[in-house]
Amino acid sequence: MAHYVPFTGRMTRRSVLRGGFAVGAGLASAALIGCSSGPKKSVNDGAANTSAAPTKAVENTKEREGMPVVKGTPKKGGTFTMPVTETYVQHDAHTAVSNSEWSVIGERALELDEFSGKLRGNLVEAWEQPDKNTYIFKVRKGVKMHNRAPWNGREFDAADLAWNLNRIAGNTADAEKLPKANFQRSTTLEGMGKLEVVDKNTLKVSMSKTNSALLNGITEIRNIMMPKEIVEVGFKDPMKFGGMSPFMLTEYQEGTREVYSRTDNYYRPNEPYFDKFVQVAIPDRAAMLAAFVSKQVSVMSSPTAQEIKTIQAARQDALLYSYVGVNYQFIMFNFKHKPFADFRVRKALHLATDFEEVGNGYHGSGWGYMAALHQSFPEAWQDDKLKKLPGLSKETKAKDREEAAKMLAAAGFANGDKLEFEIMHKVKADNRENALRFQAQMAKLFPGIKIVIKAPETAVFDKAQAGKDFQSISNDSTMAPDAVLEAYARWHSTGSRNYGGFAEKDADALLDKMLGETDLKARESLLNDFQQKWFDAWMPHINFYATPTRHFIQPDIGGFDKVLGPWDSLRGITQKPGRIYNV
Amino acid sequence: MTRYVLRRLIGMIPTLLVLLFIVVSLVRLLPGNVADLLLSDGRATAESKAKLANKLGLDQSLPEAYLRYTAGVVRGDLGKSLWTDVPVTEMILSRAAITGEVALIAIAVSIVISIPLGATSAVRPDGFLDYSLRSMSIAGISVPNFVVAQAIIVLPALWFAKSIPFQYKSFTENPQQHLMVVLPAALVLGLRLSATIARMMRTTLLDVLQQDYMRTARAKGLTDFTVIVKHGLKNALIPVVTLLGLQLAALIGGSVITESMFALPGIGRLLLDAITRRDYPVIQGVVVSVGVLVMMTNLLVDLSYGFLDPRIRYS
Repeated sequence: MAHYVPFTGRMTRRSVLRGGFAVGAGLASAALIGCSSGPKKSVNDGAANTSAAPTKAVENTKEREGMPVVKGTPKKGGTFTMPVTETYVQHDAHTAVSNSEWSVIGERALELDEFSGKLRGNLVEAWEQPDKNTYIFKVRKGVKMHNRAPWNGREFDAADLAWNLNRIAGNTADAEKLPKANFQRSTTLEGMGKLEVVDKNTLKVSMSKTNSALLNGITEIRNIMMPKEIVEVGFKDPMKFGGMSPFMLTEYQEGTREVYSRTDNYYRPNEPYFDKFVQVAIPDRAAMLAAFVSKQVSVMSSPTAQEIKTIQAARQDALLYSYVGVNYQFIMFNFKHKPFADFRVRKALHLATDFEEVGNGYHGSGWGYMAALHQSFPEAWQDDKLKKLPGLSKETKAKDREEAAKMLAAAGFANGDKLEFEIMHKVKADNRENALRFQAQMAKLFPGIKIVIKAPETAVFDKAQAGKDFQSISNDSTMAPDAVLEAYARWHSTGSRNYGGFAEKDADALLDKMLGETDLKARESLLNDFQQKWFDAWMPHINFYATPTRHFIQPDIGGFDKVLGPWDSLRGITQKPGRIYNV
Repeated sequence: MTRYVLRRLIGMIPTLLVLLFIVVSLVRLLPGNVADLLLSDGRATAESKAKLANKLGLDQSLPEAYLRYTAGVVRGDLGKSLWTDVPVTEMILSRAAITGEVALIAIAVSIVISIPLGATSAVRPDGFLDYSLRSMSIAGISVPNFVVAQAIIVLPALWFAKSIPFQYKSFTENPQQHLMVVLPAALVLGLRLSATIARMMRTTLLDVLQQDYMRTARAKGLTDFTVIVKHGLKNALIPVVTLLGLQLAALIGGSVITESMFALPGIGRLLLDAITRRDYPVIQGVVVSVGVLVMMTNLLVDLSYGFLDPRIRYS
């Protein structure tokens, strides 16, 4: 799909609660109706992070590596043009496979800080968790809907929030006569129970089961808030939509462009800066490059190494933003393929892989090491530890490969003899090149090994993956907004992304325990145990690396050092266009 | 003539029925499934996918799907998109104008280029000019459309930081911007077509120039120009017109790539997107519409023979 915008986010309840205890817990709890005190009570005021105007922020922030800061005074006016491969196809934020217009015209209830991943308020400005299964959300006052019927500038309130959370969780499926499976982000709000609108700005949520990842789940980038009347308005004509962001849709030309124009009643003062935000459909990559070089578009995302060279040769003033994003590249084993049922085979292939050659081969630089979890999760093992691990360490590579040969021999595949498998990859250059490099490395080390690379077209790949009809897959994925959510989806035997059929009782027990554990220190400790066992005893994937994210931006546009980051990546453009500006 | 047209139109019905059967069968042979794509991001079970497949009519047997689809076509109903629920007819009509415009300009470009080139080659065969023009036409046939399109799009950007406008605007909205993107796209399609037609023009005109009536015309004292244009070209055009008609389908096929590269929202891009998404009704609708268009074009081509050669009579 074009417009593919993946999961993003970061597990940050730890920081939320740590900070939250100190900040007016008593005051907030007293103000909220129905908040019973409990041992794990926590309060957070998310508003603190949201009011800084970009001008001030630019002056006050240190420049980060790979994130150019554009100096100068933000100007009002102008048009920001973003190339997309196609205009939005599906128009219901909660059931669309990918993004929709709502990514631009709507907003999320909670967000994550782009770099630190700290949870912060947005439409919900404060929240409290009086006990394990109860949340109180305070909806920001003064958030106005777009001035379009039937909303006509009314305020977004707790009833809207309740309707959205209930719908994202899939609880309205029967009433709307839609298959529950259509609500594809329902797992992010697992356990969503009773929702009580206490007053116009207060919502009480009682969970039907403990979900330690709920707050981060709400930040999932497609969990966009819509006005509750939208079901009556319908999702066929985007021109009838009204959200609460700084831009409203004013022109929709299917297959050509979407034009969003500024509104004057956005809740963040001084925003937006641009008069218009345009998404123009340019399906061809070469055309997109030509459009950027000729300044017809403001940004070009995910340039390949060759495109970077080409653009830098043609436009030396173009700004390149580069950081480790939340995507990661891997080979997934299917446990139905007999050799992969043996841990020794999986581990041997990991020990034998030269990860530096794979990462540098496609990206040149900027990628990050990875074991079980992406290093952007605060609970995940970080570079200093990862670089020393067997298989990942450069220093021990020769020894690791000797060990790999022994393990393969012990598993009955000495020298790689009789070890045969296919790697299926999507028609994507990075997936293909990683598979080819892995194949070449293994063929050189183990001459008897037979690895066949297959590249079916996307729909065929998706069907084979969903039907577990493959031997191994070279693919990439984007992290869920929480470490436990991500691990659960990938490696619980019932996980929604466990396409390889990994099933370990210990892993399931540990994952279930983590999902129900709201004590953050205990949760972090469990996550550490999980990573250790994943690495030492399970190894259901070979995670190649955390993928670098890159964008070229025109040199006269500022604010991107604030809206781009590991946890907001491209969404910094589509969901926060109000925070960027011309200088 | 009316009876001939009626007979041809009636004769199209079995062709259309066969086309419908092939189209309905082929889209079901495509590997992959729209239900998998629509539910690719969630915890969709086989049961939920089956329910969705039932709701979308994907579980119909081939005969049932064929009969339902044929009945719909008879009523003028090509179904609705599985992704957007928009009627396919509406989608095709909204995209047809741009594809039609590009195709017509491409044909015009090809005629303007190919007829004089082919005629020049035929009149002075085996000379330097003939060899040069024949080499050019072979190059035109050999170089794929997308290479020419890439050159038109990328090279000016790299050399001068300029390129064609990629934000498509309709003619009424912004005529200059409209033509700046439509003309290069038509040129890409037209150049290739002109290479094919120029070769056909040369061969047929060479043949015509050897005919007795051409010698007679010259013996009557007519000028070379009159002999070639009035007596030669007109007679040589019949195979060229036939070829032009046949090339319409190739033009629509070429538009799939060209429209994507030039960011034009036409039928070609609609088809490509529909195939990627396994949007069966849209794929079927586009293929059937193009099929009908090709059949009608062939009829028009056959009718044009009578104009080009008065000896031809329709009965």
